Amino acid sequence: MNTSLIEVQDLVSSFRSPAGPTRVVDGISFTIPKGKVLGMVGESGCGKSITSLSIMRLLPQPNGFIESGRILFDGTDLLELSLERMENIRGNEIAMVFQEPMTALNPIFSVGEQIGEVLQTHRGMKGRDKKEKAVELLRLVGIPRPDRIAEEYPHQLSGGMRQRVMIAMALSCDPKLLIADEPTTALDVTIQIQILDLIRDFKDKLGTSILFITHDLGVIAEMADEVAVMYLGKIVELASVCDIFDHPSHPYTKGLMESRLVKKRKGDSLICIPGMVPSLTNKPKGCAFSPRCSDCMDICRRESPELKEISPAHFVRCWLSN
Amino acid sequence: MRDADSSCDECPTQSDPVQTENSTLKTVLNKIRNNALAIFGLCFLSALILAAVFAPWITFFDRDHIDMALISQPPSLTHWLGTDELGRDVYTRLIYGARVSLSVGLVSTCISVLIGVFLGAVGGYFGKAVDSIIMRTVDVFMCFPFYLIAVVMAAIIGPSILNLMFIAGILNWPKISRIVRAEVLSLKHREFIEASRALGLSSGKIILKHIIPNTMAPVIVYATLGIAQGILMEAGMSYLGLGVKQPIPSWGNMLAAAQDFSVLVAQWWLWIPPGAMVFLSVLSINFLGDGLRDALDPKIAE
Amino acid sequence: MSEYLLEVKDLKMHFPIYSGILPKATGSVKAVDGVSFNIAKGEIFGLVGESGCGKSTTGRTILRLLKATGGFVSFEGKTLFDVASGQEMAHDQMRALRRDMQIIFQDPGTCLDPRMTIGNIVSEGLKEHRIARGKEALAQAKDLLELCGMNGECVRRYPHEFSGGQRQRIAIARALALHPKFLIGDEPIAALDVSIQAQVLTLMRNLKEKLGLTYLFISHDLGVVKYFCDRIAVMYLGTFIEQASSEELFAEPLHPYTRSLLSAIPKSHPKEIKERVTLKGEMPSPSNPPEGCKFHPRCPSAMPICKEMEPVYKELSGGHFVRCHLY
Repeated sequence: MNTSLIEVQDLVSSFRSPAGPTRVVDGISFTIPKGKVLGMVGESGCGKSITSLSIMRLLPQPNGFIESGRILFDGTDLLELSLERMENIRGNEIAMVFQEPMTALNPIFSVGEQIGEVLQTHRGMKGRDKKEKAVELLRLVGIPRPDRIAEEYPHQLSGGMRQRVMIAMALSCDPKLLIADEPTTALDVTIQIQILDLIRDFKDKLGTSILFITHDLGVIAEMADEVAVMYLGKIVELASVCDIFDHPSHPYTKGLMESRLVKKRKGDSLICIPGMVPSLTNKPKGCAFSPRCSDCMDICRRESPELKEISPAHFVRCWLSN
Repeated sequence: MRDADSSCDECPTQSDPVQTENSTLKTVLNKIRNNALAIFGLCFLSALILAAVFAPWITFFDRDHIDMALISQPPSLTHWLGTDELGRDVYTRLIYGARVSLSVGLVSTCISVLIGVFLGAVGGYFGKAVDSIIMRTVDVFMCFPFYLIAVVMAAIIGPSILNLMFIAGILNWPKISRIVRAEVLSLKHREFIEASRALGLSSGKIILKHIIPNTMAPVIVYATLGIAQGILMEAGMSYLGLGVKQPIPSWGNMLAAAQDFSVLVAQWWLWIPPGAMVFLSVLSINFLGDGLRDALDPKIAE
Repeated sequence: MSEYLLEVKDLKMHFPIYSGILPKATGSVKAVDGVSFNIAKGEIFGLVGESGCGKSTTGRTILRLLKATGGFVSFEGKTLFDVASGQEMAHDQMRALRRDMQIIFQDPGTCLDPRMTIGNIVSEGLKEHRIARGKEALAQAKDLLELCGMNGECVRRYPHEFSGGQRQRIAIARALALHPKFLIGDEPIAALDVSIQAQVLTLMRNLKEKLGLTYLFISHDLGVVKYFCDRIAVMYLGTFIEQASSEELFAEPLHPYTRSLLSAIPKSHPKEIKERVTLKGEMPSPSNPPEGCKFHPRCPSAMPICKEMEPVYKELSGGHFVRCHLY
């Protein structure tokens, strides 16, 4: 029986440029079962945001395009659907929460109107029903005095409140999949905990699957069931969250784990990953991580490794593990 | 994993070009290269400037040479654009007229840019009373219709090429100062300005070294368009008799010939060439200005 | 001669709010409302708090990038300003003192002038204070950049050609050009990738040892502050509510806000069980702070006295200060 809600197979997303197309997502595959959270972690340029936009088929136009791959959502390949059918799915069955709610919310409409827009588009609700449901949703996400807040504009609310509004919008139509792209990065730590608890509550109540994108390993520890570590457009390690923390196998994952300050005491030297992420137009030959890897071997510089299963449900893309 | 203490000072410092927000000169030129209209504008203007500079070498008659035997002759092989009512070669006067129009455009723009950038930067940076005074002055200047003031001023101080430059210069600075002020308002809170203050730079130095160079992009565009304004203004004023006086030829005072109905109907070579030159020059400058604006706007992709 | 490098007493920065046509202020945003602390030479003092608590404003006010509305600040025993007595350091003296006190900002995207070359950016201070000119200034700039882990050849390039982490290194080189004794870091690594954060932090620590610097490190990231700083002060709505050595603050947080901040740090392992002290609501606006103790509306241990009287900032045990009625 297929319990996976969404299955991405060999997705390749690229950007056109005068110098030719650049692959930003270079062949990634993953599954998210129903009701589970997949955490996608990586630093800038790794392609995690583009992955989420590819699933929604919202790549920046005119230069972004999906080169190849399949995205099976509840059995249907999203890439084969008509635009109209895709619009039905967006906001309805697949919803998205962004990092910067100030730019994701329309500044000239009140938050109640914006939630109402989603309800009207997908549920056909109008008038008083729409207003009441919007207020109800604001109450569910923990906003105090929701009837008053519904009349306010995004700039009048704090960052935490705006993010709650975004979550209310995202969950208004009971989506099957929630894509959260760094939803708490711009928030203070005490608000972050509140928002993470909120998302977790909804997941438990509604059985929503979540693709949770972040660069913060602490947030991954809080939220994820499974983790995909991305580097320069490829998944370099994929495992359950406990396996990633207990047995990180890829040198990059190990480096990220070691760089965490939370484990360090004063005076400990910081072990860091030397160098920088290379630009996408200038990918290294062979394994993309080889220039920064302290365990780099000859073969790493020549050939790019494949994703191999090294222990049950633990995949690594590294010559050291082969 | 190499230890940070030893390795980080030796970190590979390849500076991979990051997706840039600011255009470099190369990107700007690339964008212009792709804009056919801007290329046309640039070519025409370059040709015009060269013609104006090298006028003595590309004309064959003396500019003011009167030949009463050859009055109002239509174009021929000797006189490419015919002769005017005093027997002077129209083509020669047209080329020399370019000098007048271009210099009025350029100098008046320089004046308005100097005043506008200075006042806009000072007002925007210091704010409060200084800003209020400057902006109220701008408001007053912008209340009055341009040509009305120009005509009145020309009537008072007398018509001449220098006066035209002066009038156009001081009537156009308010627009530029508003643009500069808007840029400065957003710039002055940027961290690199705070860093300069932390280094101990005085306000004056900060304005000169940091603020003004960063406002140049919109100023360049408006200055370019301002040259077109200057040319049009010269043409208008000289046509009305308030600008450049005979015998110095200018496109405006050559156009004045068309005030005579018979010339308008029967002697097209007296007024169509200068009219066409004004039209083409202004068009070219506008194309170039639009192209520059698109090229300098970092948000418009190549 | 003071034993401290920097002394701050009762610093206040109130921004007036104007509404209506009249130029009179109808209220004020009390961004910094009575902050006192001292930093000893060679110390790394951490200032921690959430957005809106006033920590960045504190840094800027100390450096006189903003004009304080109250309080006293002295550096190496020389008074920078004393609002109560109207005393203010003379312009020339202040300008000379700026060489000793520098600042690094948060946003690598806007901290460098996009129209200047790296060489000019880094050597600007040298030229301004007549320490060096022309080729000599450029040579010193190159040395500084190399000290900060950059290739000296980058002096000819422009900021947009570099990544965030590299620009931050350039900003540090610029700050070091004048050989300062004291450096304020206003969230210097917040905008950087995790692996780059580690690099820049290591650089800052190495520079401190090599050059004998003293830091005021402002951050919202408790993990960074715990690792990097000797003493830490926690700020809430314009005042310090707790201050202690880094070890003691994390081992024995006294103030309820500090406790909730520490408990809000995400888990370090999925199986870890964390006791969470959740607070109600959000930090109120500094233009309308609550009466009495500013934290009482959100405090899980609020008592009747907290609503009426603001607690005094007092020292409990060696160097551990708290502002709370519980103690």
